[in-house]
Amino acid sequence: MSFWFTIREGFKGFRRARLSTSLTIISIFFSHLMIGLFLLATVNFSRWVDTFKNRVELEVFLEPGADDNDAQVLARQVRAMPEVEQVRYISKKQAAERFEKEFGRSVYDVLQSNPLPTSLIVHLKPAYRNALSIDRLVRQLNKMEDVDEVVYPQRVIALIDRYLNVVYIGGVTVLLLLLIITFVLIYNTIRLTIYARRDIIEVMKLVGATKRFIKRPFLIEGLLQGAIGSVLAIGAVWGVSLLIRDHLYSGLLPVGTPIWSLLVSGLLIGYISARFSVAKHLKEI
Amino acid sequence: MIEFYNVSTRIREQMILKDVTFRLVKGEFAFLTGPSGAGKSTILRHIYMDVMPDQGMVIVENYNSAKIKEKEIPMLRRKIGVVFQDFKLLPDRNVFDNVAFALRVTGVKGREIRRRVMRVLAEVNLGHKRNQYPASLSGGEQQRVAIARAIVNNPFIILADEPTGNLDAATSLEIMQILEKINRQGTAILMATHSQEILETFGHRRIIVRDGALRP
Repeated sequence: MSFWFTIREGFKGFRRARLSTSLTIISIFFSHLMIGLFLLATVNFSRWVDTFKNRVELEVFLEPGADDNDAQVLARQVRAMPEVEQVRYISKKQAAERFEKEFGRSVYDVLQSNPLPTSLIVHLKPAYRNALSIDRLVRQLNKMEDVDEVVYPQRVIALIDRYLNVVYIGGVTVLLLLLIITFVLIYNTIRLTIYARRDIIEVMKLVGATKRFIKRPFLIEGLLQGAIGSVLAIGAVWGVSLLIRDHLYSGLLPVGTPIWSLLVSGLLIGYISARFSVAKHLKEI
Repeated sequence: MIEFYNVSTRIREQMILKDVTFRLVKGEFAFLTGPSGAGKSTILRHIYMDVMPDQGMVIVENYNSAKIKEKEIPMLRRKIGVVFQDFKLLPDRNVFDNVAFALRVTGVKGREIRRRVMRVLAEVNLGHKRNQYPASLSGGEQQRVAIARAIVNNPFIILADEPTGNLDAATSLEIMQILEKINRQGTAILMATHSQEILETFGHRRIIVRDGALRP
């Protein structure tokens, strides 16, 4: 009985402050739509970055004097490093074949001998495919015996990392701002409902309702606002992904399970802001 | 049952009660009288502990204003019925629900609510109007609903703050008769009023307040 009473009173709060409730739901909807679109962009952007970084390899050139045996020893050492996923050994002969494949002429035709050095092609584990880890690894490799030079697309990797950081920090800042705005709006809506329902709160106190009992409908109201706004946002993100996939880019990945974090966030922000508002404003009645 | 010991209270820097001491015994009917602003309502608010004394103490049944914890106050209020001049009914629910409200917020079960509400509505002769909304009732009927809500929890005392202040003489008499009936059933009544007519018609003990202090 008391449970349904609380739920019913929670819904009544909606009707009492219709305009501010609608505004709050709309703002939860928009802030969560933004978060959802951000998630959608992140999922797709990181897949694109991963595909690119997957192709990143370090080429470790050996000293001209190093022979096959030295190369095998070095390969074994490199393979044992924690950052390394795979090492491929390119002998002088294979290097010559690669040259021919790339330039269409044999190295012997151009230079009469094969000056191409032996090398190791190093693939990194996904966690280490960033500028910082690569730099550290390259410094380590350079110090090793028989290593002449390490070549890799340093500039591109640094650039991607820098932009990724800017995008993430910018995105998270905007999202935090949106959440703060949503907090203020819910806080204020609950304040308005509390004032709109002053009479009922006064009677509740008079007939001996406990504080918790008086608070509950307002918390339910905050939760409901959060749930409605965020579920609408989840629907909208889903719709937007379908539209993009059908009309713009068929390779679009959906957000998947993390989309439900929007519902969690909606419920949380609804509950927390209602709690703060109730704690502050119920006393004033 | 209700005891005030040298109670002095300031509200917003203003002295409202000065050294008030009195006692109300079980089942008593007493009037609290004096001019407007003398402190009658503040005395009533001390009893349901909406206001706490700055000095002295108020004892209501087993509760002492100096020792009561905040979470005990709702329990105290369930044993006290309060009636106001402006009724304080909820306009968005009918007579039955207004009375049932006092039981619902204290967690009484559905069937029990129905039984008790119907009983108290019969007691104030409003059973037939249980589905009407407060706006469609006369002042006297609204006050009877408020009284029904006040007694539905079987309180040991009814605090009535100028319950006839908004009513004509005939209706006031009707309300007084209901309060008398409730009192005869054993519930104490402390009623604030400045109506000479009521004071003279009903010869109960008078507690006179003037400028926040009791007069002999």
